[in-house]
Amino acid sequence: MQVLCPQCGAPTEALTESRFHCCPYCSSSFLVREGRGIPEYTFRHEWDDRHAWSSLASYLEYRGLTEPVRQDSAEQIFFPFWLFSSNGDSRRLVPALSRPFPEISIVTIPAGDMVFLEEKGEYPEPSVTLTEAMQQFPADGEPGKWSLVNIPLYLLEYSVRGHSFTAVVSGADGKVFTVGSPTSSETRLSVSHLGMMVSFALLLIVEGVLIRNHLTRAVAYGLSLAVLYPLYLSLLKRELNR
Amino acid sequence: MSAAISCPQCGSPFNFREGTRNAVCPSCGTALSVHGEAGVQRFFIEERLDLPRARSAARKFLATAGVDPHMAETLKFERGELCFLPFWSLRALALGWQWLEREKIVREEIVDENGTKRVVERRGTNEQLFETLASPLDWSSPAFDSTAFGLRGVAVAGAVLPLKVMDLAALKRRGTVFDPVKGADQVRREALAAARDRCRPAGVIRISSTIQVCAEKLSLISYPVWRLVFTSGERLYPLVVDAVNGRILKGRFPGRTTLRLFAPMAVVLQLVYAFSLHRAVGALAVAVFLVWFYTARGLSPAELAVFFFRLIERGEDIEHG
Amino acid sequence: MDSPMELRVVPLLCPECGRTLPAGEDDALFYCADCAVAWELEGTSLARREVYHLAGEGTLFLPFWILPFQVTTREGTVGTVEDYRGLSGAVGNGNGPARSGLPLLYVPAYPYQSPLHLIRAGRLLTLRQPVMTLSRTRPSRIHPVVFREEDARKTGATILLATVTEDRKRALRFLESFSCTFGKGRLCTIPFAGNGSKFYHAALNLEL
Repeated sequence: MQVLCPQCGAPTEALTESRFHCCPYCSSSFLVREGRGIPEYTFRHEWDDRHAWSSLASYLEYRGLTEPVRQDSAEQIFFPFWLFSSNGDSRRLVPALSRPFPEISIVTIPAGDMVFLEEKGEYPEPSVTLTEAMQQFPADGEPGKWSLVNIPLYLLEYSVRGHSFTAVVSGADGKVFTVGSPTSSETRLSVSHLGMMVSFALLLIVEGVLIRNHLTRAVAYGLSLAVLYPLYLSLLKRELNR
Repeated sequence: MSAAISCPQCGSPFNFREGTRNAVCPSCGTALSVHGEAGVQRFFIEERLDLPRARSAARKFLATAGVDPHMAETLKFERGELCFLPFWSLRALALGWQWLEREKIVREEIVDENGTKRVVERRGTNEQLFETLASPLDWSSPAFDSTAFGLRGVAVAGAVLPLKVMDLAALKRRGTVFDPVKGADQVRREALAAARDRCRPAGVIRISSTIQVCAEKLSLISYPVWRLVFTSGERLYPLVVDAVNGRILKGRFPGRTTLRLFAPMAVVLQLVYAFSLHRAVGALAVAVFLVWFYTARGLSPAELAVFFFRLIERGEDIEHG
Repeated sequence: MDSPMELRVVPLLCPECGRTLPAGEDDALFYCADCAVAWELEGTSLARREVYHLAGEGTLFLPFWILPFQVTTREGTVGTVEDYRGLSGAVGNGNGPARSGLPLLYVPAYPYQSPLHLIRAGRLLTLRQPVMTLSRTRPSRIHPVVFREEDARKTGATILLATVTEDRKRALRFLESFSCTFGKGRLCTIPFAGNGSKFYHAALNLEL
């Protein structure tokens, strides 16, 4: 059947429900739903897991987490969203696919270069229909247009102290979306530091018991400090550079 | 701010001020009207820093801002991207009215039986006030999600910056042009909300107001920033540098670590020595120490533990625009 | 998804006589003195607007948008000058029959010192409801016109409400019930005498 390009109006032959059309006149990409042409966009992004894990690490550190994060899995996906925009405002994003990541419902449209689809690429098929999306967000007569936006997302699973968590990182701008995140534990103290101080104190106490003369003891204390201080310092420096 | 355009009659270029509607060509004297699609004038600000200069601004930041020096040395530059970020600039009139009901406190001087004068405050009848609202609007806000970039507004920067008429094709060759995701309607609403918040007096019981935007001049200005990515091992560290003045807009790096070893060791030494002299001296020394500690850091087991046992302190470095 | 980004530069030449139209930075309409007609930019072409020059003494011709209006409030409809006098508490001339024509709103279209000046000027003139006649002469220059008719209409409600009596303005229910509609606007010029930064109209004894 004949379908009009949503960008320039040029007619094309298309099936009632089909995807990945490229208008020969204006080069825009669109899909066809219920016989109507709907623009389809994506954001330019080069996949790189490091980008996602680093964004998550920064996000957690900012919230005071000091413990190591175990990276369990990362999925790269051009996640489809039905986008309703009115007068240039991006009003509402409705996820068009279902995944066990609650963060997806709070994803916002990223800051980036929104472009038409250039190559086929790995764009999953929406499982939520446009009709269902429109029902979730009744327009109330608000003038606006629907389109399909494939937002590059990293779906992350990670664990801290044995507890599992999920997070979603937006590829285009590195924004992190979490629903639950690990709480920072109370101040954790390093066992080795504790050991260093305690052994120093013990040494002094032993010297104190053995040496009765105040002056000699003061000298012995001074020597202990002079010996142990550089030793501890080098141990700490080694710990830092690890 | 002024932008360069060329006269269609005689072809000579000249400057015209952003936000104005018309200009007169200085060469041929023709009056020209300048307007954009849907009433929006589109401009961009040309970047002053190229990639090498952006990198050196970043390196300077890493060296001087207190970032851990060991980390700063091992950071490797991976890539840089020039991004043009869209900002709305709205100049208009905000017109409307505001009605409010306010408590009126009446102060009365009364003389009681003893002859002393007292001032008594009574709640008088509430007063209603009507005010015409008429003020100029000069509002600028980002048309994109700015949390990733640390840039709040280009209004401050824009006072003396030369604008250029938007040339999308040329900009796309140099970098990434970000699309605005905020429309003009929302900008108007934001500007009106800010204008409304400005006139809120105290002691208000009820308030009602209507305000709308008139005679608007709307511009969309794209501002250049460099988005640089540094790596250290598997970890990426992004840094956003203002491509006009080289300011660091957003970045987060681990701070300098300090070793606090001497203070706790010295305190332990002095306390143990004091105790070795005499129990009472020891007790006194402990008391002195606790008092000093209390004034310095407050008295809590956690703080004490940190003082004695946390020997490495890691600082964090954040820069926000 | 991007609309064309070019700025359009349109030369302002009178479509009837070809002369360059005088244009200040913020002008919304352009007056051709020879043709005594104003031009408004619509898209890339100029649309014709009649200008009515009103009689009076003065060398500065200030442009105003004059719009007939009707006001509906909880008290009823105000559709005549007499009704409007009741609403605004303005005192009539005393002589002459009660005026039954539509009341007129005066919106200053010239550059204003501050928005409140604009409202005040519009309010003073609207309160007067002056009887004005057309001038026989056409001025060679008029003050810049910085408001389009649509902006004048938006300003109208604020000016009208400013003219209403104080006691009505303090009643929230009155304010919420207040609504006004405007007829077709006309761009007019009224001659004033200049006095530094102020404008003075002798016949009406008004200073703006």
